[in-house]
Amino acid sequence: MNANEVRVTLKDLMIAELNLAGKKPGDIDDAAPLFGEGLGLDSLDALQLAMIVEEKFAVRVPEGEAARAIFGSVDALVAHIVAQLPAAEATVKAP
Amino acid sequence: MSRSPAAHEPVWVTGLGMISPLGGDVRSTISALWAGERGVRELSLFALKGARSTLACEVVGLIESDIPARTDAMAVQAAREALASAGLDPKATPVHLVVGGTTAGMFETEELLTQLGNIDLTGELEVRLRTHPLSSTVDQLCERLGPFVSARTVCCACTSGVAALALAVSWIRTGRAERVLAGGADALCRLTYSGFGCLAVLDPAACRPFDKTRAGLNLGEGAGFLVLESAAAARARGRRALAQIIGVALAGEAHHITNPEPGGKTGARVMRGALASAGLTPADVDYVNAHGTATPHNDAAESAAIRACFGDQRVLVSSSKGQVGHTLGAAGAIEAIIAVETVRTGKIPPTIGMREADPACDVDHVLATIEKPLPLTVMSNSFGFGGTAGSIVIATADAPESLAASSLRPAERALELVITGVGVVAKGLLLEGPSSIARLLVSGDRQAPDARGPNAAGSLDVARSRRMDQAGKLSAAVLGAALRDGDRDASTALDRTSVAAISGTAFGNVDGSMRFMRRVLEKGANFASPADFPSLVPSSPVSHAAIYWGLGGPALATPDLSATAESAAATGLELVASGVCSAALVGSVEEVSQLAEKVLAPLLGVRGLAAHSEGASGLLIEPESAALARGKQPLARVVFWAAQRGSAAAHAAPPPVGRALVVAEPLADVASLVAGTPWAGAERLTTSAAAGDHVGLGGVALAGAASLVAEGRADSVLVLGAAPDRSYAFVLAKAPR
Repeated sequence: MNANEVRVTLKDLMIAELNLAGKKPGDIDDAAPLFGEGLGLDSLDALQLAMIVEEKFAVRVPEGEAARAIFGSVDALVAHIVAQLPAAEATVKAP
Repeated sequence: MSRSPAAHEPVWVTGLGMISPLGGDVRSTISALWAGERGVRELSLFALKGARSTLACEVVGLIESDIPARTDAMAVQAAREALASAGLDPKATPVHLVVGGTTAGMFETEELLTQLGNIDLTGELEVRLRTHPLSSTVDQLCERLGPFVSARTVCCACTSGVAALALAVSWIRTGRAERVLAGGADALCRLTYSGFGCLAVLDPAACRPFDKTRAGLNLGEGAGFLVLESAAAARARGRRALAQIIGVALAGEAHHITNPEPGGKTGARVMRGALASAGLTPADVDYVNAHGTATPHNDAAESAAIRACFGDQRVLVSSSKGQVGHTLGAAGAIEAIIAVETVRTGKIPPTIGMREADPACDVDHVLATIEKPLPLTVMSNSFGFGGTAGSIVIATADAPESLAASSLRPAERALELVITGVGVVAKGLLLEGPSSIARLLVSGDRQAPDARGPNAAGSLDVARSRRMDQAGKLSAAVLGAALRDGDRDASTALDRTSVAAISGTAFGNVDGSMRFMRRVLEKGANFASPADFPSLVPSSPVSHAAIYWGLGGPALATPDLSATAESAAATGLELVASGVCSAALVGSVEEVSQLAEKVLAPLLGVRGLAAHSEGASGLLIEPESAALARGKQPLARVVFWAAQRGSAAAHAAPPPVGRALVVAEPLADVASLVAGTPWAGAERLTTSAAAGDHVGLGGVALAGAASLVAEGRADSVLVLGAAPDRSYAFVLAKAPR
């Protein structure tokens, strides 16, 4: 899965899992902060997003301060997922 | 301590009972607490793949083994001890019952829910499943220890225990009850364990309240019950007080479904409210038994709230959560008992687990049990999901020589109450105001000119309601309609600072709990949904509504099978009549649920309807004087209400005046409920098919009855509600102009 595929999947997941009714993937700015201003997400959304990312991509998002940068934007989250993916995919594919 | 004259008749505590992770009764728990023992151990009740922690505070010394649900067994054991210590037998002396909780038989049914459809429900499984609704606990208590005159279930998330005590105090202060057995009970279960885990608030190690390194709570379980009596009632049977409850307050942050409001503004407000209710100033309080869960957010917000309330008056503070764990709906009752033992003995218990205080928790911590001279006055706090907040003030019993004077004060005069706004969701449509709602009872025509309401859920702002499940949306929509109707033609809008929201579903969020548990059991607790968990506590729909509309009073659910709406209305009337809240939005909310309708309702003897629909109702209740002061012409006056075990609630109702109507939901057996009363010959109406078919129709009947009075169609209306072994009656009359 390349960065673009991750980004498309991630935005669809965000809309469904965070109940962003009425939003389309194009409404989510890749570089804008996810929390506070912008999408108006908060720490409860961060927990849901972390759980869904682990479920769909088999990539763990660390808790606490380390998560702050990763949840900085869609771009940052995609970068984290892509960086962790090869190992995770290898694990999944291992016999 | 110099106490100014109490604003109310003191309420005596004459009996205590408890089971906790520290012991099977009050004595063993309290001595372990003073000794600094901790109840946290490896969890043995269940194992959960992917769980955040493996620790919990499980109860020890549970001996009631033939009761199907663990919560109910703990409740019966603690309540039995409380009655015995008060020397009270409900078979001989009238006693009322109120229980706070959040889970009831969840531990026994959470796995079963995920298998329904694939298993035969017979024998033991059927018995287990009957414990699922929150009202299971009061039903077990009535069966094992009753009869009780009335039995109420309240859920206010983790403030449930304090909410139960506040309601009991309200009843005694306004003379509605002389004796109440009040408490809370909650057992550990997979649902709350994985739920708090997925919210990242469970500490995998032993918890550390107020500590710099605190990282979350340890879940606990337990039950606590107190026998409360009016001073006069206790004296009449020659009992002395163990302590007295002199102040109570309930509030809501209207901020967020899980996160506490930073800064603790509402926490400070609820503590000030409890002091005002007691007629005290901060200087009169010696010690605060804090909620102190050891989550980073709670302890900082609560410390800020304590500082804001007490200002320069430094007060001793400790949390019992490091020893008992967080026992959810039982916490407020267990900690009230700790407060009673503190003011009785002078021993102030410590915070165990804290090593270095967090600068953000700058209060005077008690790190080892200390002894102070009596008398003492103690405050106990509880906070919960949805921003619920409760505070109670307990004081050393008056010296025997001063008793005569204090016990002669009459009960607080209850306020005259009116209904000033109504809303209904009928088959998806939102109806607002009396003219459209009156038609739901009479003609079934919902196409009245002002009845073209919007789609109920669609009436809400999409972004602000995105977190709500369907029950939350219906609840917010219908309570909003009642709120708007209550402001229509008024010169001043209702002040929402202390408005309660009281509603809920008969059986809880059964489908949501099933879906949540499926993920947990199939994928692991690490895949539990943080977004879904907060919607599983029964008070969630009203909490969503309270947050949406900025209601600063408590959000309560009052599950009582098919009389849940009636229970909500009675609870709202009682909290407003006693001044705990300035007004209340009450009603019902029911979603379509195959599990609730096809499985639970028949099992619990709740008669089913032909075709189920969702639906909701809302009524705004406020003191008549407050409505008139803001230039609002009330729809109807509430001249009587009664909530009882058995079927005789209507028997104490005053006789009809003028054109009389008896109103009920379609399945109530009206003829037998009014037999032998002056209402037996009155015209009868039920909600029409257009109102929908669901177990919350009692709320529609109430809203409809108020509407008929407002529309001049009746001078007095008796509204009846019933479910197995409980009945409710309300008499509405024309409001003065």
